[in-house]
Amino acid sequence: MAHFIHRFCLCILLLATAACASKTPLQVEGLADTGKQYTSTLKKVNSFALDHTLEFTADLLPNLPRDNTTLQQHTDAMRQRAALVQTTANYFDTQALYFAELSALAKGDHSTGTTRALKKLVEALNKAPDVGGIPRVTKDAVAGIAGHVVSWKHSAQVREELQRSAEPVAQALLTNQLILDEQIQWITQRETLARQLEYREEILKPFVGDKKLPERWKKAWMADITQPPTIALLEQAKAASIEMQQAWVNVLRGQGSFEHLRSVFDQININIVAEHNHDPK
Amino acid sequence: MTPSDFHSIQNDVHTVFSALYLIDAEHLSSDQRKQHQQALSVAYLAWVNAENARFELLSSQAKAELVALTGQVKAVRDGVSGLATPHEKLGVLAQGMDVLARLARLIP
Repeated sequence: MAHFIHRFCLCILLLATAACASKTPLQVEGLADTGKQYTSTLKKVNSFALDHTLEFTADLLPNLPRDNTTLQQHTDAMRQRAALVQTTANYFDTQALYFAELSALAKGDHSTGTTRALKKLVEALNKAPDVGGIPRVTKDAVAGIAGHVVSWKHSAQVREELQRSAEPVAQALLTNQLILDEQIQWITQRETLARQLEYREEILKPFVGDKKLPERWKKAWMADITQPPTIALLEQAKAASIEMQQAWVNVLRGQGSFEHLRSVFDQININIVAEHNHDPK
Repeated sequence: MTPSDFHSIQNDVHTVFSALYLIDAEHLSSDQRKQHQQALSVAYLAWVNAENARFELLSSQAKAELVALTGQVKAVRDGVSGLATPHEKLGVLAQGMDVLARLARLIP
Protein backbone atom coordinates (compact mmCIF):
# COMPACT_ATOMS: atom_id res chain seq x y z
CA MET A 1 0.00 0.00 0.00
CA ALA A 2 2.82 2.41 0.95
CA HIS A 3 4.49 1.56 -2.35
CA PHE A 4 1.26 2.40 -4.21
CA ILE A 5 0.90 5.73 -2.36
CA HIS A 6 4.52 6.57 -3.17
CA ARG A 7 3.94 5.90 -6.90
CA PHE A 8 0.68 7.87 -6.81
CA CYS A 9 2.45 10.87 -5.25
CA LEU A 10 5.18 10.62 -7.86
CA CYS A 11 2.56 10.72 -10.62
CA ILE A 12 0.93 13.79 -9.06
CA LEU A 13 4.35 15.45 -8.81
CA LEU A 14 5.08 14.72 -12.49
CA LEU A 15 1.71 16.10 -13.56
CA ALA A 16 2.20 19.22 -11.47
CA THR A 17 5.66 19.78 -12.99
CA ALA A 18 4.25 19.39 -16.50
CA ALA A 19 1.51 21.90 -15.70
CA CYS A 20 4.06 24.40 -14.38
CA ALA A 21 6.22 23.99 -17.48
CA SER A 22 3.31 25.01 -19.69
CA LYS A 23 2.35 28.10 -17.71
CA THR A 24 3.37 30.50 -20.46
CA PRO A 25 0.67 29.48 -22.91
CA LEU A 26 1.05 30.04 -26.61
CA GLN A 27 -2.24 31.92 -26.58
CA VAL A 28 -0.68 34.87 -24.76
CA GLU A 29 2.59 34.67 -26.71
CA GLY A 30 0.76 34.74 -30.03
CA LEU A 31 -1.22 37.76 -28.91
CA ALA A 32 1.49 40.27 -29.80
CA ASP A 33 1.55 39.35 -33.50
CA THR A 34 -2.20 39.02 -33.83
CA GLY A 35 -2.77 42.19 -31.82
CA LYS A 36 -0.37 44.03 -34.11
CA GLN A 37 -2.22 42.83 -37.20
CA TYR A 38 -5.58 43.60 -35.60
CA THR A 39 -4.64 47.18 -34.67
CA SER A 40 -3.00 47.59 -38.07
CA THR A 41 -6.33 46.61 -39.71
CA LEU A 42 -8.23 49.09 -37.54
CA LYS A 43 -5.73 51.82 -38.38
CA LYS A 44 -6.08 51.13 -42.08
CA VAL A 45 -9.90 51.36 -41.91
CA ASN A 46 -9.48 54.51 -39.80
CA SER A 47 -7.25 56.15 -42.38
CA PHE A 48 -9.40 54.88 -45.28
CA ALA A 49 -12.53 56.34 -43.61
CA LEU A 50 -10.90 59.78 -43.45
CA ASP A 51 -9.65 59.67 -47.04
CA HIS A 52 -13.03 58.47 -48.27
CA THR A 53 -14.80 61.37 -46.51
CA LEU A 54 -12.25 63.86 -47.87
CA GLU A 55 -12.71 62.51 -51.40
CA PHE A 56 -16.51 62.79 -51.16
CA THR A 57 -16.27 66.31 -49.68
CA ALA A 58 -13.79 67.44 -52.32
CA ASP A 59 -16.22 66.24 -55.02
CA LEU A 60 -19.08 68.05 -53.31
CA LEU A 61 -17.33 71.40 -52.71
CA PRO A 62 -17.55 72.67 -56.32
CA ASN A 63 -21.36 72.34 -56.02
CA LEU A 64 -21.53 74.54 -52.92
CA PRO A 65 -21.51 78.38 -52.77
CA ARG A 66 -18.06 79.45 -53.91
CA ASP A 67 -17.29 81.88 -51.09
CA ASN A 68 -14.75 82.17 -48.32
CA THR A 69 -17.17 81.29 -45.48
CA THR A 70 -18.35 78.05 -47.09
CA LEU A 71 -14.81 76.85 -47.79
CA GLN A 72 -13.66 77.79 -44.30
CA GLN A 73 -16.57 76.00 -42.58
CA HIS A 74 -16.09 72.77 -44.50
CA THR A 75 -12.31 72.87 -44.16
CA ASP A 76 -12.63 73.33 -40.40
CA ALA A 77 -15.07 70.41 -40.15
CA MET A 78 -12.66 68.17 -42.07
CA ARG A 79 -9.69 69.32 -39.96
CA GLN A 80 -11.67 68.36 -36.88
CA ARG A 81 -12.38 64.96 -38.48
CA ALA A 82 -8.67 64.48 -39.23
CA ALA A 83 -7.74 65.31 -35.62
CA LEU A 84 -10.30 62.82 -34.29
CA VAL A 85 -9.02 60.12 -36.60
CA GLN A 86 -5.46 60.81 -35.39
CA THR A 87 -6.57 60.47 -31.74
CA THR A 88 -8.18 57.15 -32.62
CA ALA A 89 -4.99 55.99 -34.39
CA ASN A 90 -2.97 56.78 -31.26
CA TYR A 91 -5.45 54.76 -29.20
CA PHE A 92 -4.95 51.78 -31.53
CA ASP A 93 -1.14 52.17 -31.19
CA THR A 94 -1.48 52.00 -27.41
CA GLN A 95 -3.32 48.70 -27.77
CA ALA A 96 -0.62 47.28 -30.07
CA LEU A 97 2.01 48.21 -27.46
CA TYR A 98 -0.04 46.60 -24.72
CA PHE A 99 -0.29 43.31 -26.63
CA ALA A 100 3.48 43.35 -27.27
CA GLU A 101 4.32 43.97 -23.59
CA LEU A 102 1.89 41.29 -22.41
CA SER A 103 3.50 38.86 -24.80
CA ALA A 104 6.96 39.77 -23.43
CA LEU A 105 5.69 39.09 -19.91
CA ALA A 106 4.36 35.69 -21.00
CA LYS A 107 7.74 34.85 -22.54
CA GLY A 108 9.39 35.38 -19.16
CA ASP A 109 10.35 39.07 -19.16
CA HIS A 110 9.31 39.89 -15.61
CA SER A 111 11.41 43.04 -15.32
CA THR A 112 9.93 46.02 -13.52
CA GLY A 113 10.15 47.95 -16.82
CA THR A 114 7.68 45.59 -18.49
CA THR A 115 5.32 45.61 -15.51
CA ARG A 116 5.44 49.41 -15.29
CA ALA A 117 4.88 49.75 -19.06
CA LEU A 118 1.83 47.48 -18.84
CA LYS A 119 0.37 49.52 -15.97
CA LYS A 120 0.78 52.75 -17.92
CA LEU A 121 -0.71 51.22 -21.06
CA VAL A 122 -3.75 49.95 -19.18
CA GLU A 123 -4.23 53.46 -17.73
CA ALA A 124 -4.04 54.86 -21.28
CA LEU A 125 -6.56 52.29 -22.53
CA ASN A 126 -8.98 53.47 -19.88
CA LYS A 127 -8.92 56.91 -21.52
CA ALA A 128 -10.70 55.76 -24.67
CA PRO A 129 -11.78 58.37 -27.21
CA ASP A 130 -15.25 59.34 -26.05
CA VAL A 131 -17.82 58.18 -28.56
CA GLY A 132 -20.98 59.99 -27.51
CA GLY A 133 -21.53 58.25 -24.19
CA ILE A 134 -20.60 54.81 -25.53
CA PRO A 135 -17.81 54.07 -22.97
CA ARG A 136 -20.38 53.99 -20.15
CA VAL A 137 -22.34 51.34 -22.06
CA THR A 138 -19.23 49.25 -22.76
CA LYS A 139 -18.19 49.36 -19.10
CA ASP A 140 -21.46 47.66 -18.19
CA ALA A 141 -21.04 45.14 -21.00
CA VAL A 142 -17.60 43.92 -19.91
CA ALA A 143 -18.12 43.96 -16.14
CA GLY A 144 -16.91 40.76 -14.47
CA ILE A 145 -14.82 39.58 -17.42
CA ALA A 146 -11.79 39.17 -15.12
CA GLY A 147 -13.64 36.14 -13.75
CA HIS A 148 -12.71 34.33 -16.99
CA VAL A 149 -9.00 34.28 -16.06
CA VAL A 150 -8.16 30.63 -15.45
CA SER A 151 -5.46 30.78 -12.76
CA TRP A 152 -3.70 27.47 -13.36
CA LYS A 153 -3.24 28.17 -17.07
CA HIS A 154 -1.00 31.21 -16.53
CA SER A 155 2.18 32.02 -14.65
CA ALA A 156 1.75 34.18 -11.53
CA GLN A 157 2.90 37.39 -13.27
CA VAL A 158 0.74 36.85 -16.36
CA ARG A 159 -2.25 35.90 -14.23
CA GLU A 160 -1.90 39.05 -12.13
CA GLU A 161 -1.63 41.20 -15.26
CA LEU A 162 -4.60 39.53 -16.98
CA GLN A 163 -6.78 40.01 -13.91
CA ARG A 164 -5.87 43.70 -13.82
CA SER A 165 -6.28 44.35 -17.53
CA ALA A 166 -9.09 41.93 -18.48
CA GLU A 167 -11.76 44.59 -18.20
CA PRO A 168 -9.95 47.63 -19.69
CA VAL A 169 -8.76 45.58 -22.67
CA ALA A 170 -12.19 44.05 -23.27
CA GLN A 171 -13.65 47.54 -23.08
CA ALA A 172 -11.05 48.82 -25.53
CA LEU A 173 -11.87 46.00 -27.98
CA LEU A 174 -15.57 46.79 -27.70
CA THR A 175 -14.93 50.52 -28.16
CA ASN A 176 -12.85 49.66 -31.24
CA GLN A 177 -15.86 47.78 -32.55
CA LEU A 178 -18.10 50.80 -32.07
CA ILE A 179 -15.55 53.11 -33.70
CA LEU A 180 -15.32 50.68 -36.61
CA ASP A 181 -19.13 50.60 -36.94
CA GLU A 182 -19.22 54.38 -36.99
CA GLN A 183 -16.52 54.64 -39.63
CA ILE A 184 -18.13 51.94 -41.74
CA GLN A 185 -21.26 54.07 -41.64
CA TRP A 186 -19.32 57.17 -42.81
CA ILE A 187 -18.07 55.18 -45.77
CA THR A 188 -21.20 53.22 -46.73
CA GLN A 189 -23.56 56.20 -46.57
CA ARG A 190 -21.30 58.30 -48.79
CA GLU A 191 -20.58 55.39 -51.12
CA THR A 192 -24.32 54.75 -51.53
CA LEU A 193 -25.06 58.40 -52.36
CA ALA A 194 -22.14 58.69 -54.77
CA ARG A 195 -23.25 55.54 -56.56
CA GLN A 196 -26.83 56.81 -56.88
CA LEU A 197 -25.54 60.01 -58.45
CA GLU A 198 -23.20 58.07 -60.70
CA TYR A 199 -26.08 55.84 -61.81
CA ARG A 200 -28.14 58.88 -62.79
CA GLU A 201 -25.33 60.72 -64.56
CA GLU A 202 -23.29 57.89 -66.09
CA ILE A 203 -25.97 55.27 -66.77
CA LEU A 204 -29.51 56.63 -66.82
CA LYS A 205 -28.97 59.93 -68.65
CA PRO A 206 -26.86 58.47 -71.50
CA PHE A 207 -29.30 55.54 -71.79
CA VAL A 208 -32.42 57.66 -72.27
CA GLY A 209 -30.52 60.03 -74.56
CA ASP A 210 -30.30 59.59 -78.33
CA LYS A 211 -26.55 59.16 -78.63
CA LYS A 212 -24.80 55.86 -79.17
CA LEU A 213 -23.75 54.30 -75.88
CA PRO A 214 -19.96 54.09 -75.47
CA GLU A 215 -18.00 51.11 -74.06
CA ARG A 216 -17.60 53.15 -70.85
CA TRP A 217 -21.39 52.98 -70.38
CA LYS A 218 -21.38 49.18 -70.46
CA LYS A 219 -18.62 49.03 -67.84
CA ALA A 220 -20.40 51.56 -65.63
CA TRP A 221 -23.68 49.61 -65.84
CA MET A 222 -21.99 46.28 -64.99
CA ALA A 223 -20.05 47.84 -62.10
CA ASP A 224 -23.27 49.27 -60.68
CA ILE A 225 -24.86 45.82 -60.49
CA THR A 226 -22.14 44.31 -58.29
CA GLN A 227 -21.54 45.13 -54.62
CA PRO A 228 -18.70 47.65 -54.21
CA PRO A 229 -15.53 45.86 -53.00
CA THR A 230 -15.11 48.47 -50.29
CA ILE A 231 -18.32 47.48 -48.54
CA ALA A 232 -17.51 43.75 -48.65
CA LEU A 233 -14.07 44.51 -47.24
CA LEU A 234 -15.42 46.54 -44.37
CA GLU A 235 -17.84 43.75 -43.50
CA GLN A 236 -14.87 41.36 -43.29
CA ALA A 237 -13.01 43.77 -41.00
CA LYS A 238 -16.08 44.04 -38.81
CA ALA A 239 -16.44 40.24 -38.52
CA ALA A 240 -12.74 39.86 -37.68
CA SER A 241 -13.00 42.57 -35.05
CA ILE A 242 -15.86 40.71 -33.38
CA GLU A 243 -13.76 37.52 -33.42
CA MET A 244 -10.93 39.41 -31.72
CA GLN A 245 -13.22 40.08 -28.75
CA GLN A 246 -13.89 36.36 -28.42
CA ALA A 247 -10.15 35.69 -28.80
CA TRP A 248 -9.45 37.94 -25.80
CA VAL A 249 -11.82 35.87 -23.65
CA ASN A 250 -9.97 32.76 -24.91
CA VAL A 251 -6.66 34.33 -23.85
CA LEU A 252 -8.01 34.82 -20.34
CA ARG A 253 -9.17 31.22 -20.28
CA GLY A 254 -5.88 30.01 -21.72
CA GLN A 255 -7.71 28.39 -24.64
CA GLY A 256 -7.85 28.59 -28.40
CA SER A 257 -5.42 29.81 -30.99
CA PHE A 258 -4.83 32.98 -32.99
CA GLU A 259 -3.58 31.20 -36.10
CA HIS A 260 -6.75 31.62 -38.18
CA LEU A 261 -7.27 35.22 -37.05
CA ARG A 262 -3.72 36.09 -38.06
CA SER A 263 -4.30 34.95 -41.64
CA VAL A 264 -7.71 36.71 -41.75
CA PHE A 265 -6.17 40.03 -40.65
CA ASP A 266 -3.29 39.52 -43.08
CA GLN A 267 -5.69 39.15 -46.00
CA ILE A 268 -7.88 42.07 -44.93
CA ASN A 269 -4.81 44.30 -44.58
CA ILE A 270 -3.66 43.41 -48.10
CA ASN A 271 -7.14 44.06 -49.52
CA ILE A 272 -7.56 47.38 -47.74
CA VAL A 273 -4.22 48.61 -49.06
CA ALA A 274 -5.23 47.51 -52.58
CA GLU A 275 -8.60 49.23 -52.28
CA HIS A 276 -7.06 52.35 -50.76
CA ASN A 277 -4.65 52.67 -53.67
CA HIS A 278 -7.43 52.12 -56.17
CA ASP A 279 -8.73 55.34 -57.74
CA PRO A 280 -12.48 55.36 -56.99
CA LYS A 281 -13.29 57.32 -60.15
CA MET B 1 -30.37 63.32 -24.94
CA THR B 2 -29.27 59.66 -25.01
CA PRO B 3 -26.80 58.19 -27.59
CA SER B 4 -29.80 56.58 -29.26
CA ASP B 5 -31.66 59.94 -29.54
CA PHE B 6 -28.53 61.43 -31.01
CA HIS B 7 -28.30 58.59 -33.49
CA SER B 8 -31.85 59.39 -34.61
CA ILE B 9 -31.08 63.05 -35.22
CA GLN B 10 -27.93 62.01 -37.11
CA ASN B 11 -30.04 59.75 -39.34
CA ASP B 12 -32.59 62.52 -39.94
CA VAL B 13 -29.86 64.95 -41.00
CA HIS B 14 -28.42 62.30 -43.31
CA THR B 15 -31.85 61.76 -44.90
CA VAL B 16 -32.30 65.49 -45.47
CA PHE B 17 -28.81 65.83 -46.97
CA SER B 18 -29.42 62.79 -49.21
CA ALA B 19 -32.64 64.35 -50.56
CA LEU B 20 -30.76 67.54 -51.41
CA TYR B 21 -27.74 65.73 -52.81
CA LEU B 22 -29.89 63.72 -55.20
CA ILE B 23 -31.77 66.72 -56.59
CA ASP B 24 -30.73 67.13 -60.21
CA ALA B 25 -29.61 70.76 -60.48
CA GLU B 26 -30.19 70.63 -64.24
CA HIS B 27 -33.91 70.98 -63.56
CA LEU B 28 -33.53 74.10 -61.44
CA SER B 29 -33.61 77.75 -62.39
CA SER B 30 -30.59 79.94 -61.72
CA ASP B 31 -32.06 81.26 -58.45
CA GLN B 32 -33.08 77.79 -57.35
CA ARG B 33 -29.56 76.51 -58.04
CA LYS B 34 -28.12 79.12 -55.70
CA GLN B 35 -30.67 78.16 -53.07
CA HIS B 36 -29.81 74.50 -53.63
CA GLN B 37 -26.07 75.14 -53.21
CA GLN B 38 -26.71 77.01 -49.96
CA ALA B 39 -28.97 74.29 -48.61
CA LEU B 40 -26.54 71.54 -49.64
CA SER B 41 -23.70 73.29 -47.82
CA VAL B 42 -25.63 73.74 -44.57
CA ALA B 43 -27.03 70.20 -44.62
CA TYR B 44 -23.61 68.61 -45.27
CA LEU B 45 -22.02 70.66 -42.52
CA ALA B 46 -24.75 69.58 -40.08
CA TRP B 47 -24.23 65.94 -41.09
CA VAL B 48 -20.42 66.02 -40.77
CA ASN B 49 -20.61 67.85 -37.46
CA ALA B 50 -23.08 65.31 -36.15
CA GLU B 51 -20.69 62.51 -37.15
CA ASN B 52 -17.77 64.32 -35.51
CA ALA B 53 -19.80 64.87 -32.35
CA ARG B 54 -20.29 61.10 -32.03
CA PHE B 55 -16.54 60.96 -31.39
CA GLU B 56 -16.66 63.56 -28.66
CA LEU B 57 -18.77 64.01 -25.60
CA LEU B 58 -21.52 66.52 -26.26
CA SER B 59 -21.70 69.34 -23.76
CA SER B 60 -24.72 69.30 -21.45
CA GLN B 61 -25.91 72.60 -22.93
CA ALA B 62 -25.74 71.21 -26.46
CA LYS B 63 -27.63 68.11 -25.33
CA ALA B 64 -30.48 70.22 -23.95
CA GLU B 65 -30.73 72.31 -27.12
CA LEU B 66 -30.54 69.22 -29.30
CA VAL B 67 -33.63 67.83 -27.61
CA ALA B 68 -35.53 70.93 -28.75
CA LEU B 69 -34.17 70.66 -32.28
CA THR B 70 -34.82 66.93 -32.70
CA GLY B 71 -38.51 67.38 -33.48
CA GLN B 72 -37.85 70.14 -36.00
CA VAL B 73 -35.22 68.14 -37.88
CA LYS B 74 -37.58 65.17 -37.99
CA ALA B 75 -40.34 67.42 -39.36
CA VAL B 76 -38.04 68.51 -42.21
CA ARG B 77 -37.17 64.88 -42.95
CA ASP B 78 -40.85 63.87 -42.96
CA GLY B 79 -41.71 66.86 -45.15
CA VAL B 80 -39.25 65.74 -47.80
CA SER B 81 -40.28 62.10 -47.98
CA GLY B 82 -43.02 61.49 -50.48
CA LEU B 83 -42.38 64.60 -52.57
CA ALA B 84 -41.67 63.81 -56.19
CA THR B 85 -40.27 66.88 -57.94
CA PRO B 86 -36.97 68.66 -57.17
CA HIS B 87 -38.93 71.96 -56.85
CA GLU B 88 -41.21 70.57 -54.16
CA LYS B 89 -38.29 69.04 -52.26
CA LEU B 90 -36.21 72.17 -52.48
CA GLY B 91 -39.17 74.19 -51.20
CA VAL B 92 -39.51 72.09 -48.04
CA LEU B 93 -35.77 71.85 -47.51
CA ALA B 94 -35.24 75.58 -47.91
CA GLN B 95 -37.78 76.19 -45.13
CA GLY B 96 -35.85 73.82 -42.87
CA MET B 97 -32.45 75.36 -43.52
CA ASP B 98 -32.44 77.51 -40.40
CA VAL B 99 -32.98 74.35 -38.31
CA LEU B 100 -30.00 72.62 -39.95
CA ALA B 101 -27.87 75.75 -39.65
CA ARG B 102 -28.65 75.90 -35.91
CA LEU B 103 -27.76 72.24 -35.64
CA ALA B 104 -24.44 72.74 -37.47
CA ARG B 105 -23.52 75.60 -35.11
CA LEU B 106 -24.59 73.66 -32.04
CA ILE B 107 -22.33 70.67 -32.71
CA PRO B 108 -19.25 72.19 -34.33
